[in-house]
Amino acid sequence: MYAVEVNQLNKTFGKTVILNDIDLEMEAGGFTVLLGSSGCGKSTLLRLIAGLEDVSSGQVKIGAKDVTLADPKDRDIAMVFQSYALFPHMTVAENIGFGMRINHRPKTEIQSRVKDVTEMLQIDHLLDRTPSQLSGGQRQRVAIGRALVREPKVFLFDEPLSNLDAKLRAEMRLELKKLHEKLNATIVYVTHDQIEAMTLATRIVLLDKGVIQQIGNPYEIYNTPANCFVARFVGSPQINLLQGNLVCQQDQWGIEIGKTIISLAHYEFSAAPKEGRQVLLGIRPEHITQSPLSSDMTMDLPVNAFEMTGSETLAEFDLHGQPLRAKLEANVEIANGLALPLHLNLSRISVFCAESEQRL
Amino acid sequence: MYKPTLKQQQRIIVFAFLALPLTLLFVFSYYPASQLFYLSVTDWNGYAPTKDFVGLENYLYLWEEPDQLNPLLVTLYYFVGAVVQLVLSLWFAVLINSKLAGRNLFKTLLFIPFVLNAVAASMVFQIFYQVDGAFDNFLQTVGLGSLVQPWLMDPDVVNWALVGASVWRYLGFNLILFYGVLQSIPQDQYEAAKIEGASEWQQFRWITLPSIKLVIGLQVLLAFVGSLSVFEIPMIITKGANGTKTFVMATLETAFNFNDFGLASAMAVLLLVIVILFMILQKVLFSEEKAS
Ligand SMILES: Nc1ncnc2c1ncn2[C@@H]1O[C@H](COP(=O)(O)OP(=O)(O)O)[C@@H](O)[C@H]1O
Ligand SMILES: [Mg+2]
Repeated sequence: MYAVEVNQLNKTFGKTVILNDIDLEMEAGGFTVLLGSSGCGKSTLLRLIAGLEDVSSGQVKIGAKDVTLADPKDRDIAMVFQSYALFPHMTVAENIGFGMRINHRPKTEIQSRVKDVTEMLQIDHLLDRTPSQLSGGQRQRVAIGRALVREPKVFLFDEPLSNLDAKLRAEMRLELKKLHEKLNATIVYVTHDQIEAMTLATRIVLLDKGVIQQIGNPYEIYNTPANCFVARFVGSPQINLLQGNLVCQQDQWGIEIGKTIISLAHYEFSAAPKEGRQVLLGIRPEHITQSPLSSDMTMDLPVNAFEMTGSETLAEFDLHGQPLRAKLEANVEIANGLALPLHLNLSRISVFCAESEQRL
Repeated sequence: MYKPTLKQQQRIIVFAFLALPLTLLFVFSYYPASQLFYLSVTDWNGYAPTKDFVGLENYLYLWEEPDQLNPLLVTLYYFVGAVVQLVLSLWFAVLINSKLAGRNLFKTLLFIPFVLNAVAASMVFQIFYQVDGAFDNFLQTVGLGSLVQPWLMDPDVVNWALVGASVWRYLGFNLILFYGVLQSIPQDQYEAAKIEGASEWQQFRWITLPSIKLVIGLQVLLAFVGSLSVFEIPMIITKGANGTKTFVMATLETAFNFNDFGLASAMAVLLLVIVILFMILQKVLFSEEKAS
């Protein structure tokens, strides 16, 4: 098992900076997910690791070896592309065996390894078909098979599930997770889908505009976002960010929002708080409920708008002019203008500086 | 008021759209072709008001006097040229399709001869090849002065000189077709192959070639049929002298200089048959099923 390490990595296309001073260690045997919105540079970072692009400056290491200038084929990696990149004129067996064939491996060895891999992926009945005769999910498996057969030290995935329909995506997600446990290999996985990241990752690297916003496991990313960007990016519906001021009453810190003061008794500041400072209070809709269990604070707020999804009710309340969204039970009695009692779970809140949007 | 049913409406629309192109096709292609077949079994001299049916006499003449078909052999030079042209254009297309600096400039430069007026392009080469002309000067400059010869007068080299002009002129056309289909091959197939250790040649052999197989077939057909119907370049540069007369030139000569339209028509029909044979051959060699 090899770790992947990038040091002070920069990538520019012309004058456009795509990746800015990336320092990152992707743990050996870990499932690292590079998460970010479209165009933030995730694929570029992956391609730099694969050697498909040249770095502008910085270093890429796989295991103990500096591979910054090495050819892709010498990096002991396999990559699964978003488009699968299967060869349309070759059969499944030929596609999976391509690498071994051009490296002049004996026919019997190619056959037996293709057989092993396709059996493992349950596509051994498709060996003689061409990609055009396969469904999306089957093509996906062939692409993964082509990576597996190389037995690489590191697997690179670039949005492998984004061309599948929702149901298949959920299935493949589970299979990838199982595969990772079975292979025990280092995986670097690019996606823009936070659910994929949350469910698959042992570690998430959240990128925005070529800069790392936060590195952490899914729990940390979700519960202690490093800044407003991270807070907004993960979680659905989006986190509430309420404007307020820091106040201190009898040695107790709180946030004053209009006439309401929300206690920060449970909150661990990462920097010393300052009275009167303008802040944003981050509280997730799922932590505002009607159940008094795990309640730290109760208030009655009028309903602005709501929508019922069948499994839950998403409602927006008015808190001194600021919208506050909550995820309520499906069967709640609700109407616009009606005031409902809400319970806030304050153990999972975040506080950000209003100006820098960094976590306090 | 009468209202046509949906089926009738569809028929009217289909007919309306087909009427014009079909009319043009019949008036300007099929009718002249049928006239060609008809003339080939007559002894018409091109201007007499009457003509007599002579059966297959014209064809028999071609069979018994193979000298009449000698210009077909000139085509072989152009076949060789066609192969060179296809290989070169594919090679250039692959280069231009890579991350080569200035590739758009090269593409334009290579394509310009094709859009150039045929007469102008041919005259350029007439001057280029003349004794002590630019080509000889060039050879002397690069130290190949011993190769200098009367390019357009020596029957041993004149056809190669003309083939060179032809390759220069049509290369850009093949290049653009190849380039277009190369662009349609997804880049990530090459990247996947690179990661698996494929060399440049292996990438070409296993990704590029299979992907452009059908276009190669089309280009081979176009180039070979083009070789059979070469006309402008030898007509303008040498007027068919020194053994550069092509089959099309001989056909025209038979018709207009020797006033034997019947025989000329038979020659044209023969050319048509050869072209059709080529098309069948191409279909067999480059069919879609064989590509998989
Ligand atoms: N070859 C290239 N030339 C110029 N700009 C590029 C190139 N490849 C990617 N980019 C730009 O780099 C940015 C990041 O791209 P990418 O890494 O593909 O984003 P994503 O996070 O969606 O995978 C985008 O703005 C894209 O336009
Ligand atoms: Mg991408």
